[in-house]
Formats: sequence, structure tokens, C-alpha cells
Amino acid sequence: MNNTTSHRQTLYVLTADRHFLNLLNQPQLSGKIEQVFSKAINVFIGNQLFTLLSSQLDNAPNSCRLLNKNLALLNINSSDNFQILNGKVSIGDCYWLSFSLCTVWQQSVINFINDKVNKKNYQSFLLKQINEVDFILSEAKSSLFNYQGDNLFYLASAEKLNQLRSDLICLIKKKQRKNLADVIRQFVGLGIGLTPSGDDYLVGLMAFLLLKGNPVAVLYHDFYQGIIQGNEKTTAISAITLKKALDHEYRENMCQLIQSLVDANEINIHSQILNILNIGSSSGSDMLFGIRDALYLTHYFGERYVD
Amino acid sequence: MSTKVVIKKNTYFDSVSLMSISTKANQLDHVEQAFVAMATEMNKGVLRNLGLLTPELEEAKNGDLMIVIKGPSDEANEEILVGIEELFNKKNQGGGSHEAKYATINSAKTHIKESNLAIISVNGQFAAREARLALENDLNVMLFSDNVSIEDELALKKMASSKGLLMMGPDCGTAIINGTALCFGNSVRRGSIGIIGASGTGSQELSVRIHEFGAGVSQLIGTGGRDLSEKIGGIMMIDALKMLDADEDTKVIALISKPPAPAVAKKVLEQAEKCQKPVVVCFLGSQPLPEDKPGLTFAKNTKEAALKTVLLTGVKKEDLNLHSLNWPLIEEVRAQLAPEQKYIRGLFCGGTLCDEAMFAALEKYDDVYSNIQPNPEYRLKDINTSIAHTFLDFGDDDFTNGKPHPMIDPTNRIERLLQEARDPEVGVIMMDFVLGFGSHEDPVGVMIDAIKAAKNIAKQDGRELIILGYVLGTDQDTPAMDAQVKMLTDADVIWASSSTNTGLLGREFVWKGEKA
Repeated sequence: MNNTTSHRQTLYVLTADRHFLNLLNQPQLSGKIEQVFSKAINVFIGNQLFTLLSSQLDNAPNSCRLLNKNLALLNINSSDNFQILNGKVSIGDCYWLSFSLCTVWQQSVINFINDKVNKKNYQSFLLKQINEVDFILSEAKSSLFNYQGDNLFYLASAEKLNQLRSDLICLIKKKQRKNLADVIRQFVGLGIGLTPSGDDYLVGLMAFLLLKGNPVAVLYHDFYQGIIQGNEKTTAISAITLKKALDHEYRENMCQLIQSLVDANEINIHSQILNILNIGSSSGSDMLFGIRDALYLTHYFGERYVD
Repeated sequence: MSTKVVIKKNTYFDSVSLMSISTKANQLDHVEQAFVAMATEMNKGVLRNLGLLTPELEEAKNGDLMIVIKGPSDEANEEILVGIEELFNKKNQGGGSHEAKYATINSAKTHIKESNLAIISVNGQFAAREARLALENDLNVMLFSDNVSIEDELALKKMASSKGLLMMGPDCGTAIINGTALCFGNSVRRGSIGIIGASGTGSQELSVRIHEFGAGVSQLIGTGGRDLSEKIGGIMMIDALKMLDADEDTKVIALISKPPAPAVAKKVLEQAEKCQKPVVVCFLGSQPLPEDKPGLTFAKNTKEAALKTVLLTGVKKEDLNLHSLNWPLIEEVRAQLAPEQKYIRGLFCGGTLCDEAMFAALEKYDDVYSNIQPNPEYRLKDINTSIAHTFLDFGDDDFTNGKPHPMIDPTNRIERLLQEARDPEVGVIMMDFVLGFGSHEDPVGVMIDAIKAAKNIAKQDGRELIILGYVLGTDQDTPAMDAQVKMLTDADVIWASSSTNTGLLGREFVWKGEKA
């Protein structure tokens, strides 16, 4: 490998999370470019997936944000080498990464204050947000949850998704742990695209529902089991996102929304919901379905013991 | 029937692209079913349940893309596959015209740096925030949303004013900026008349009359209906006056509004007097009409305002068809109506068109009711029941709460038309039909069966029901004005040439006195 940097174009890293920066501590690592999108490039290094993001996107776990806006314009293709040698990162034959502008993105820890859920005003807040998300989702035609076409396979997938969603809500409401992990497992990998709708739904659901202090967080182990059992059955990028979700690690936009939901802070919540909606092609709307159900379940458990 | 399966190793697309390709694939010749998706275990499970899982599919990995085609034969399936591959190639090549979507105003402004105007139509409770963001990004704003608090409106207008930006709205439905109609608007020729309107359909009416009289519009700036209230103080109208006074393409300025708060009217008129260009003012319903001043001309109605404005641009009055009232027609209609058919019922989409007809009636009758009557004594308590002469603005919040505007959805008006037709005291039903950008694609066509039914109801009761229609539009509008008017004529509907004439004709048709 030619790892000299003189003939290479510099790609500046704006922000990176600690997982990504930890890579630089390795004396030598090599990986491959997996997928190239206009706003994200996925890289497999070792057994892990990392992502180079466009400056237009928010921060995310295992990622760094580049100064560039459109990554598809770069001469980077699937299967290109991604090499780390003595703290220097080179991509294919054309680029190297400079961290001279880079700052660390650190995700804040979000905790749910348990007795809040019983308060009437928080209950009202949750209801309002459920209605808001329902309204937005009623227009989310790209989501498989809302599929109304005539394609047999998509119809069957949509039916399965909605059935699983209904089963899951029912089991959680009854806190019936017997089949819970199995139902969660069945979500994993169910959907059409690179991050299947079932996975995105679970990511959204867990982001709020499994917060420490949420009445449903006691079911964490069942979620863990279900996802670990299903993890080999979905796409690699989706598998890593689900694992990160189990570790309470989410992209920055999701963290901001969850923080507002926990704090019942309505100031920016509409735009934060829209930021989620606009993730990927349909991932955002699928995640919102998950968040919506998390809000509903939290409201349900709170309502039973409302002050 | 034959099934073909293609596995593309390590190939990936987002779900919307795959759905879109599948939809197009299903439109290819001979396709029974076709779909594409990532080959995850769960997706293969769905295929298994559908009886479509083949050994090849079993072998596919989570990161592979699967294409499944059901067609009449192996040969046909090969052809279909070629078609699907082309769809993938087109997707990869991208290009072509497309609509860009941005999650936020900041993001849109970042991507389109040269953008200078934002049209905002979101739920009222979020609208002020979005408008503020747009102004912070140095964008002029047209705020279509209503239900924005007056405090927010004031703050936004002050901010826009300090930055030299337009803050049109809230509740602003009409504007023509640099020749482009925004939201609801008509296709009018460009010219030297600048319109500033605090009323949407009033501005539209003024613009189409100006067009009909041979002149054109430089800019049409909407202010939103509350701009001339005491609290807002006419900030937008005063700023717009200054802008148009400085605009090289504008030679004459026309203002249209319902009567402003007196203190605000004074401020606006003072600014108008300061303008270097002549200003024509039409504050509908103002009684009495103020006297003209140098550079400042007052008009009683939209038609008069258009005429006075156009004459100031140099058009000769003798060259114009002024469409004076057709008195023989009035006499003919009066003869057809029974003595008990003494009331008008106005069913309007346009608020200002409703106003103008109502004000015309008020000049002759006392018992004029409406959901938008300025006199609270005559404001309808129950909007579902008409009293005496009743004028309804179906675009008002009373009727649109949770429903589309009547210019888009005629359901409310159709039901009411049939209801009014059953009332033996009704002589004339007035209706407007608004053409142009943003409106219904066939506003007359969608009502015509109901109109015929209404006339038939009256006929079966032994009455002649007069329906007086007005089509607001120009010869350049879509759908074609001529075709819309012909539909009315064929259905035995009398049609007026302007909003002003609609009001005058209607009130005269039902007049039971000796002389008009």
C-alpha cells in the first residue's frame, strides 16, 4: 500500500465520536468501503461498521463527519481500502483524513425521572406528542407501515410488521415476558431496504422506552435477547445500529428529540420530530412509528398510576 | 406462469427507491408480480409464506438484493428483467428534474443560497417559529398559515421591517412576485401597477380587472388580513408602499382592504400621500368615501379601483368595455320571480367577493346577514340557517375548521346550495368560481350538477330560481375562462362580468320596489 499522503487529497473531519477516534490509537488496521451514499459512506473495519458522514448530517455513533457535503462526488467506491497506519487514515488511492479540525462529539446521558410519568401534566404532554406524531405519520406514505399498494410481497411484509407491532404493544402492556423476545426477534430484518423497517422501528421504540427510569425499561433483557437472536439476520449496517441502540447510543438528532421528550420541552420538538422523519428515505418515518409507540406505552403505564 | 429470481451480491438501495422500482416494474408488459428487496432472513420468511421462496433465494445473504419476477414464461421474464435493470440504471444515473426536499429552512437556504423567499404553510402553532427562521435567513416570507397569534405577527412584522424584508401574512393566500403567482393567484399580464392587498380574493379580483382593462401588474403584495388592525398598525402595508414607491417597474399603486382601524387608516394614507407615485385606495365598505387628494384617489369597489388605477397608467376610458349594468336583463329577471322570492343567498368561496356583494346589498336593504357581517347584530348565530338576505363566506374559519378551503373542496357549498334552493323565499343564489393557480381544476364543472339540481328543485315547486354566477379569472387562466362560462350559460345560469357587478345585479334582481 502506498500510504504516503503527498499525492492524496485531504478530507477534513469536523467531528467524530470516541469509537471512531479510538481507531486512531491502533497501530495498524485495514478495512473496506462497504457502501457509498451521497451523505454517508459505510466502512467495515475488523468486525465493526463505521460511517463517514456528510457535514449535512448530524453526529452518530461509530462515525465521523466530513467537511464535504456530497460524498458521492468523491472518487470512493465499494471495496476500496480503508487503512489506518500510525494514526494516519487513507481511503483508496486518492484520499486521506485529516483530524486537525476535528472536535469530539460526546453523546449526553439521558435519564428518565421515574415519578414524572405519573404526573398529569406530563401525561398531557405525552398525549399531545402522540397526536402530533400520529398526524405526521398519517402523511408518511414512504413507510412500509403505511403501505397501500398492490405488491404482494410488500403487502405481506406490511401486514406482518403491523401484526408484530400490535403483538408487541399487547405483550408490553401486559408485561408478558414469555414471547416478548421472540416477537422482537421477528422485527429484525423485516423490511425492504438497507435498514429494514422492523429494525428502524425497534431503534425508535427503544430510544425512549428503554431509558433508565422508564417503566418499561425493566423489559430491557427481553429486548436484548430478541435483538441478539435476530442480529445475524439483518443487514450489517442495521445490525450495528440495533446493537448501538441496546447500548443507548443514538444519532445526535435522536438524542435531541429524546431529551426534549424526557424534559417535556416543547420549544424545538416539532423540528426535532421532522429531523427524525427526514432520516434516510423511509427510516425516519419507521423510527417515528417506534417513538410513537414508546410514547403510547409510557403514557399507558403512567396513566395507571397518575397522581 | 414462471418465476425468475435474480440475486445481486452486496447490492443495496434504500427502501423508497426499491418500492419505486417495484412499482415501475409492475407496470412493465406481461408482469404478473415483480418486487425487489434486501434478502434478509425475515424477508425470505415472508416469501416462504407466499410460496415464492426458491432455493436460490434461500442462499441469498442479508446484504444481497433480491429481484423476483412472476411472468407468463421464461422468455418473457428475461425481457422483464432487462426492463428492471434499466430502472436500476436510471436510478443510479439520477438526473432529470426533481423536487428537492429539505427538513428545515436553514437546510434549504444552505443548499439554495440564492433563494430569497419562503412560503410557509404549516400548522399555525409552529408557523411563527418557521417564519422567524426564514427571516433570520434573510428570506422574504409569505405565511399562508392562519391561527398565528397577533403578538407573533407583530414581532415577525417588526423583524421583517427592520431587515427590509416582506412579511406577507399570516393568513396570506395571494401574491404575485416578479410575475410568479404564489398560493392562490391568477395569470395576469405584467405591467406597471403594484397592488397591496390585505384581502386575498380582493387582490385577485383587482388583478384580473386590471388585466381585463388592458393594463398589467408589476407586483402583488399580500399583507394578511390583520395587518391594518390597531395592534399591527399596517406595518406590512406601509413597508410595501415604500417598496413599490421605490420599484422602477411600478408606476401606479393600488391598495385594497376591508375598512382598517381608523388610526391605522390614517397612518397608511399619510404614507400613501408621501409616495412619489399615484395611489388608488379601495377600503371596501367604507362609508362615506373620502375625498380625493393630490396623488391619492379613493374607490368604492374593486371594479372602480381597477378602472381608476388603469386610467392613471394612460389607458383611455373610451377604449374600455366597462360592462355597465344590463337593465333589460334585470327587468326580465324581476318579472320571473314570484312576489315571495325576495331574498338573496350568497354562497362564496372568496371572502372579499362575499364582502363586496354584501356591501352592495346593504346599500339597499337592512336585513342582510352573514357569517362575516361587520355589524354583530346581523352576524349569523347559526351559520347553517340563513335569514333574509344571507351572504356566506365558505372560506371563513366557521366553515373551514378541519376541512379544505372551498376553492379546493366544494362539498360544503354543494350541500348549502341544495338547501337554499328549497327555500321558497329565495329569488337569487349568488356563487363565485375562482380560477387560477392553487384553485380547483374545474370549479364550475364540479358544481354544475348541483346547480342543475337546485334549479330543478325550485322548478318542481313551481318557482324560477335565479342563479347568478361570477367566474374570477382571466383569459390566460387554467382552466379556460370561456369553457367555464359556457358551462354556466348551458345550465341557464346568469353570469356577471365582475365581482362588483355580481353584487349590483343580485340586489337589483330581487328588488320589489317600483324603481331601482
